[in-house]
Amino acid sequence: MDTLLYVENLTVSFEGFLALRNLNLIVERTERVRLLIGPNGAGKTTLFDVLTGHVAPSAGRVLFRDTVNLAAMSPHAIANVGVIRKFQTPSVFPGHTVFENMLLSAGRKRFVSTLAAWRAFTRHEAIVATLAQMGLAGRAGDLAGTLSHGEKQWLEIAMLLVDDPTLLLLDEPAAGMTRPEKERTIALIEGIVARSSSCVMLIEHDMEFVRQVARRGHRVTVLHEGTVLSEGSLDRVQADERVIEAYLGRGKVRGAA
Amino acid sequence: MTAPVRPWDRELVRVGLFGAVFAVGLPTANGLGFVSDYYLNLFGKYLALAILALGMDLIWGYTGILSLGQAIFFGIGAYSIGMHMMLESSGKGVYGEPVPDFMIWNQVYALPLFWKPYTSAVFAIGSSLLLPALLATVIGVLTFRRRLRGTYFAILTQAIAFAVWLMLNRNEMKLGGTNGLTDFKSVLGFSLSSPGTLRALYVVTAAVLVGALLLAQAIVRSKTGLVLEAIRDNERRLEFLGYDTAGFKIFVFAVSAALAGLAGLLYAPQVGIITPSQVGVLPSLEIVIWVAFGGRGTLWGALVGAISVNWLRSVLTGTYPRLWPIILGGLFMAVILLFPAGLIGLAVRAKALVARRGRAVAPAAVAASGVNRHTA
Amino acid sequence: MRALAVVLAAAWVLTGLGGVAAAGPGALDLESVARRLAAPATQKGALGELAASSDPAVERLLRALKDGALYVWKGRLVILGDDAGLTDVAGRPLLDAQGQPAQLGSGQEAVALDESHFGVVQRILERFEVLGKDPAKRQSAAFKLGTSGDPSAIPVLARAIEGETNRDVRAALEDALAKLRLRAPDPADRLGAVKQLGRRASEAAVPQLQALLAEETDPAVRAAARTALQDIDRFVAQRNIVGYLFNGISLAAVLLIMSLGLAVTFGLMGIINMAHGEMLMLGSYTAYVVQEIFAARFPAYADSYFFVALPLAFLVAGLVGFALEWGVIRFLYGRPLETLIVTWGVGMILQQGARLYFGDQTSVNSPTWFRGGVEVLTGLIFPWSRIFIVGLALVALGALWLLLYRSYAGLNVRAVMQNRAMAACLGVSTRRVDAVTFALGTALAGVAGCALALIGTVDPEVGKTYIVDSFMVVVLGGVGKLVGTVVAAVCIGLSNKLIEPAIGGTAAAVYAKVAVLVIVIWFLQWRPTGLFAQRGRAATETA
Repeated sequence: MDTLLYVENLTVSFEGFLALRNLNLIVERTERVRLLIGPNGAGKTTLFDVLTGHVAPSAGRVLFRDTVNLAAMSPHAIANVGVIRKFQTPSVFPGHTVFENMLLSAGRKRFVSTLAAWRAFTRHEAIVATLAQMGLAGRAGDLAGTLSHGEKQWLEIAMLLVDDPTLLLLDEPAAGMTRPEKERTIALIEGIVARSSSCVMLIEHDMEFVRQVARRGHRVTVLHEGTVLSEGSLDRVQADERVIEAYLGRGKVRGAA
Repeated sequence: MTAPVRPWDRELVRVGLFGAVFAVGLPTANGLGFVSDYYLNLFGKYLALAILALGMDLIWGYTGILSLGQAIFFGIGAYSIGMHMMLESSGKGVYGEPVPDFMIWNQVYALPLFWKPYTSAVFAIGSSLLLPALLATVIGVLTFRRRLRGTYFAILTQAIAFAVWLMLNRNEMKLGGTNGLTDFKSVLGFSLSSPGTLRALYVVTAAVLVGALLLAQAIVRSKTGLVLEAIRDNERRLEFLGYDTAGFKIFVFAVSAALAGLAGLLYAPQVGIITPSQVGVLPSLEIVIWVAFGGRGTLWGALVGAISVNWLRSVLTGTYPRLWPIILGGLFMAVILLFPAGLIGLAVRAKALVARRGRAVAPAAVAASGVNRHTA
Repeated sequence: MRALAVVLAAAWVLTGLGGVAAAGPGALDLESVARRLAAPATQKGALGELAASSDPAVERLLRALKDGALYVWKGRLVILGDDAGLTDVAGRPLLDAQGQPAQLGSGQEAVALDESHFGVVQRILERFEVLGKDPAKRQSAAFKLGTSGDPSAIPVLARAIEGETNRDVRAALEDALAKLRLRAPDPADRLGAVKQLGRRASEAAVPQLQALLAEETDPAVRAAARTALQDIDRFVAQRNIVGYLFNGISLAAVLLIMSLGLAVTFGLMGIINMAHGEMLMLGSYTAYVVQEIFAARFPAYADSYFFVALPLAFLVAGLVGFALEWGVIRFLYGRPLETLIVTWGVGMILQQGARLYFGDQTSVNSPTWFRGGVEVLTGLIFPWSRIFIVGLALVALGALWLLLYRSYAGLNVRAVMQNRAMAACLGVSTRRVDAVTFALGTALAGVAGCALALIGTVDPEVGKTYIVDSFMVVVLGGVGKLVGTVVAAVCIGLSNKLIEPAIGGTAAAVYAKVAVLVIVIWFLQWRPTGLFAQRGRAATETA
């Protein structure tokens, strides 16, 4: 076995409502990008919630690097093994400067280490480099709350990248962005793939965005009603009749009625 | 590129100035006869309460956790030294018994076991600092480790404060019941009726306040300080970044508790009495109001708030004792609703206005939320 | 059984009381006894005979003697009535030789009662109270006779039992009779009495039974007495538990009405309203003011004040809540800790205002029909006022449930609380829903206050007594679920009242509160979100 992420028969129930049902998913260690698509309510965000320890599954296994059982860990412990997540809405510390946001994200997070670090802020160069990579070098001294929507999204990605995570979960990074911002985001993701060893798992609704990211042959997984509907290259899943059914099926039924 | 971290030097100058005025200037003025002993003692009380406000600011202003148990910690400090002072003067009371007078009234003739260690001054001082910190750690472990929501923490600490208040009012606790501990004769061998002792207590209080201020400055300027503010602003993001926030919260809770105990330790000898009425929910909330009035999330705000509200209280309870609760209640509402950034916030806004008029350059952030950046 | 007791008692009197018994209580020759009563030398002996009689005529005779209305007329003893008519000792009117009502000669002196016998006469007269008109007096007289340990009271008791129709009084009489028979000379008789007391689990007989046990020589009686004491102990223990449970339920009811309001304002809206206790205070003072107005203006309908006070308390607290929401709370949505601070300030102002206007303590009288209660077990009374509060809590719960989950208005409320923006898009006026929902929560506190006025004094700090417990109820129950609030209120109410007696002492209530707090904190260790909680995905909660 040499998988990065191994999800088996994962089921999540919210008071009887099955958000995920028997979901199976494998991400290889060699993979650099995995795209997750699917209609609203397919369970994409819930899958991220399970992977980051926010929601406990009712059944099933989640193994990271073959041995680490993510389902039994708390969010901060999961982040410390290198699985880190970007939320749907930009989530930064608005009262801190951009640089302080990065300081918080870099280095060891344990209480004792933080206390011991005192004012000797570590990983200064990595922070500067990452900010430069994200195009935020000029704004290091500004409060994060004063950034534009797109800049906050990039800052959040920068915060996650600075410690070289093993698995980077991005939940709709391009949501609410203008077209130029989206193109820049795509370039940033390609930059991540080129420069670091992180694997990026990406939820996205915007099919144009997905198409551009996936054009380098990355695999696409289609989720529907809490389970995996189809998997493979973008061309293959787009040709899959079940996928067409899932995206358009409801329209057909409505048309027939 | 240089790291844009918060500057130290200017802050140290300010702290030094503050120390010069309160720890040196005021006692000198007193010695020269410009300030009466009464006012010096009054200020000694305010400065002790300012230490309490510093602790509250660390946990509420910076970390966003509303602890309604601060008055308990203050009470532990005050009762600890109070017990020691009672024992120092026992045998010299009306009845000449080896136990404090109030115990005689309750038919207690042998010193209760938990009173015995308090004959030692070192133990009393240690317990006024460490016992609050220990208790805070226990409460913190029980609440923060289980990820109880912030509102639950406020409600639970409030319930604990209420329970402690109920218990302290009982004579069975052997801590003086509703009358509390009073009629102290001396502290560490110095008579409390001599103005010299009170003057010395004032200087010690001012010096300890400066020390506490430096400690609080050091904490908020460290990486830990960044984490504390991040907990206030977006705790979830912090957890998903890999921080176990419980440890930080327990730490700041324990530090604030120790500061509260320290405040009680310095307060009781200067005021000469400690009663359960200072150890309840209302006193805890009043501390919140001092901090909010001065400006939450800024250490200077806590100092300014504690001193100004308590000065106001001294003035108004003398003139309108029956209206004071209504005035205080109005202050609760006004501070939160009308000027949430407090006096410091108003000052910063006024400064920004002047600066804008002068140079027509307005850093919008300053007025909006950057208060702490420039004044902390 | 009862008949047997009477027969036994009669038999004992027959055999036990020597001289007097020869004539029998019924056959007492009143005329001759009365004659001896009139002579100072024989007065004492005559009183002794009368003491063992149950003839109602004895009462009249002795009362006349005591009041100085007993005279000697033509060699007979006669009684001068209040209407100045003369009767003989049996109560028959007396006629003189001409057939006219008899008249006393002038200057005649009444038969004197020796000072030293006054107490004896008084005691015998008291004994006859068990035959009086007022059931309450009869009952207390029976109890007195039972504890007197005076066997000569047996005939009166036996007679009273025969004629008694009131169930409670009859039981008291039988108890008293059995207690007296504990001193009977015949062991079989004592055995019967012991067994009867044991069966009836009469708590008041414990001292007598213990005294018996100390002196008794007959092994069968001793054994029976021991069993009887055990039976009584067991009964008292069971009755106490029932009592504690009822106290717990009644506390739970008060907490429930309070917490229902909080479940709305805190659970649904996320506002920590520390002035909730003062809303309760407003309800209490509304009851007080309405009562005062009724007493002053409509004294004839004074009892009906409560029907006006209850809805008015709902309205007053609701309106104040509405004003509070409109003036203060609406600026603080999403900042629960700040609502805590501000509403505490509001509470202080209301509290001090009430103190300045009404003074430190006032009290509300329950309407007369709320006084008293139901005696569910011997010696255990459930007061009507508390039963009413339990009923009121259930009604409030039912009404709130119907309103929230079965009405269109409730649908709007829940829609706004779950997704404000979406509800607004659908045309729901979120501002109005917020204000009305908050007012509903405070109005419930007003109702609680009005009900509480029935069982306690009204003072400005009444709210502070319950507010902390009520918040514990909501926290323990879990936010947003009515069922959680109900279960938690019952848990906290019951555990308070069950822990209290277990601790004992004057500070039991305080320590019970502390113990309950510790239990709640411990419970939250393994269920941080309370008994009943909702789950959801992270995305909807992120800041």
